[in-house]
Amino acid sequence: MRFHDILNSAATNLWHNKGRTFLTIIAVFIGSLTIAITMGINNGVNDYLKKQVGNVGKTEQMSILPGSSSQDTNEPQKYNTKKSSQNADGMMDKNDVKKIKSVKGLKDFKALKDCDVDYVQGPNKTKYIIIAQITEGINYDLKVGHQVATSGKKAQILITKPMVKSYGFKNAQDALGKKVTLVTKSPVTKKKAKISATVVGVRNDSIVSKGFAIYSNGLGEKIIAANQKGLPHALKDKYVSVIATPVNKSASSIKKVEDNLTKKGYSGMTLKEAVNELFLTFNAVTGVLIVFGAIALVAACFGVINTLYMSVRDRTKEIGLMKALGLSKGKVFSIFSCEAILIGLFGSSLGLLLAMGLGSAINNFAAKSFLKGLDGFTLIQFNWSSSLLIIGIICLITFLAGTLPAKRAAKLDPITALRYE
Amino acid sequence: MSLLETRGVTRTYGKGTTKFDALRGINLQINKGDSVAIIGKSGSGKSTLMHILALLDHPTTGSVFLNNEPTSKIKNKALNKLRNQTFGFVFQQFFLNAQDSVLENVMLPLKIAGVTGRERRTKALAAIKAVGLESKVKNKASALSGGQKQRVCIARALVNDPQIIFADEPTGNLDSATSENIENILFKLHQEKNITLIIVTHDPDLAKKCERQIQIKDGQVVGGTQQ
Ligand SMILES: Nc1ncnc2c1ncn2[C@@H]1O[C@H](COP(=O)(O)OP(=O)(O)OP(=O)(O)O)[C@@H](O)[C@H]1O
Ligand SMILES: [Mg+2]
Repeated sequence: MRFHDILNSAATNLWHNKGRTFLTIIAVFIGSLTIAITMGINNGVNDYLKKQVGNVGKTEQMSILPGSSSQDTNEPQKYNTKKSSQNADGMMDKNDVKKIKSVKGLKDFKALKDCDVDYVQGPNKTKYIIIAQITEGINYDLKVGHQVATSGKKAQILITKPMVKSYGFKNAQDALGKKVTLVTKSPVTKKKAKISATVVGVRNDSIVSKGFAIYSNGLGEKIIAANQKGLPHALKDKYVSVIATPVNKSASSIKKVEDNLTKKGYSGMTLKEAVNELFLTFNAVTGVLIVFGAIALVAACFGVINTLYMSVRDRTKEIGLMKALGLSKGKVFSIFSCEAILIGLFGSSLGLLLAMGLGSAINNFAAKSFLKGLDGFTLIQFNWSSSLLIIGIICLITFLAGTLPAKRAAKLDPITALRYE
Repeated sequence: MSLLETRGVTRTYGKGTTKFDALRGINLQINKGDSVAIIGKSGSGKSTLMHILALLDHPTTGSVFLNNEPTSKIKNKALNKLRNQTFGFVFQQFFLNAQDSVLENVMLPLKIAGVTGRERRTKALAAIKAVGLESKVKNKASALSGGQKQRVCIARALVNDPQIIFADEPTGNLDSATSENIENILFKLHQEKNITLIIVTHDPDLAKKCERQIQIKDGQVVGGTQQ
């Protein structure tokens, strides 16, 4: 028997029992729908992460802060050398940096000092407060311009899109090469210092350092110098964070380094982890969907088994006849497997189609509501490879479910089958 | 020349208290080109014997020889080919697929053989013509009369040009005129194509038309004629 005749026989039988076929397909359909949506969300999130973080480079770069245990509880904390009230303010000193440097598995340490700026002024002279940090050496996602210098003395700054208009630039392009003035004062002398910085780039909205302006290394140093004017030497070594690069980039060794840091009273987190943490809600949603989809598919398997047993029973005489006329066991098995696979194919394709429809509706809604402001985030996305993978896997599952009844059909003895009433 | 031969064939159904010996030591020989009638009362074991001769069933003890070779040695694949191309079957009940057309039903053995396209159609139409059902080609099998159904079964049995046709009560449920028609078709095939006929029947008229009769009683050969 040729393949197309086998397929035809399977399809004809499904068609002759439309009602039964339809009910079995529904379960497969629900499973496929939920799993396709899950996959769509995963694709969407990953795609966004890639856009946001993919070109950042150095996503394994770790930023290390003092352990946050003092903030976790209202109870007074017992003093020990690792936990003193002095570092409860979130600042670290030389000793801290030394201890961090002693942790194995990290290299390229850089201790970042705090830079306090009172306000900033653009061409229109309006005073604005600014949230900013010194560059961590990663590639920030830019609308125009280039990254700030990570070493040297140049005073450069990356501003965000909203800052462009507020500071009085016509547009992002117009801001490039122009100066802004940062005003800072020393806590000791109370003397104001004006520092001018060149805008070299405008950032896109991003989940990486969201809403932060970025200083070049040189600008940071200037601000710090102004901040610390008149400060006794011992107080100058105050650091907000230490950044370092793990020597081994595998997840397990990064975990080990982080555990070691925790033991010493610090907390380390890579950029990648920080970004992933933002997507915990989506992970929770997809987790629930996956469980739901899996349950639907398990139910679908029983549906397929049941339907095929019914089909084998209905067609017992026909099977007996075909075997008496020389059809091999293998071909009988194929006919019923084909039926199972067709159920899987129809169910999964329909599920996928509806998922695509639902997906675009949800995307439209999301863009107007809870994803507003996250540029370039399409929540649910489909691509060919993963769609085909879903169809393939579901067909495989239904095929496996169908093997039980198909085997029974293949084993039927022709005479017994022909005598079957 | 011996085509089919049985030596001490028995067939036992069931186990323990429900154990039943349907055949008890059958020895017979059928030659190529014979037309043989297997006759006997209902329940005497005619169908059981025919199924064993047609290699659809295995004897409990004893052996069957096809062209002087023991059939127990035939591999599955070869057995399927034999059933498909060397043997033609007309069963006691019709066993037509009611939902399918006459053409589809007659094409079934060709489908199983993997014959496709025009060749399949032409052969099936020729077989349908041989039983005089050209006008019903497209009709559903369920929409035919008993005699017509039986003719479809014969068309299906001869579509692959078999060497042997096994027919179990081919005229069992038919009136005498229709029976005659079916008989004529079968004997015409026998004469024109030298097909060996093995017919199970309890109709004495049909039995007389065969060159040989084998009478079965309680699973044993109790008499018969050899012309
Ligand atoms: N699968 C089976 N299990 C148990 N007994 C069986 C089975 N098949 C047949 N028999 C018994 O074997 C005996 C012979 O059956 P068989 O069908 O060969 O009779 P038959 O001569 O063809 O009768 P009929 O003329 O009514 O068709 C019968 O008594 C029947 O009850
Ligand atoms: Mg019988």
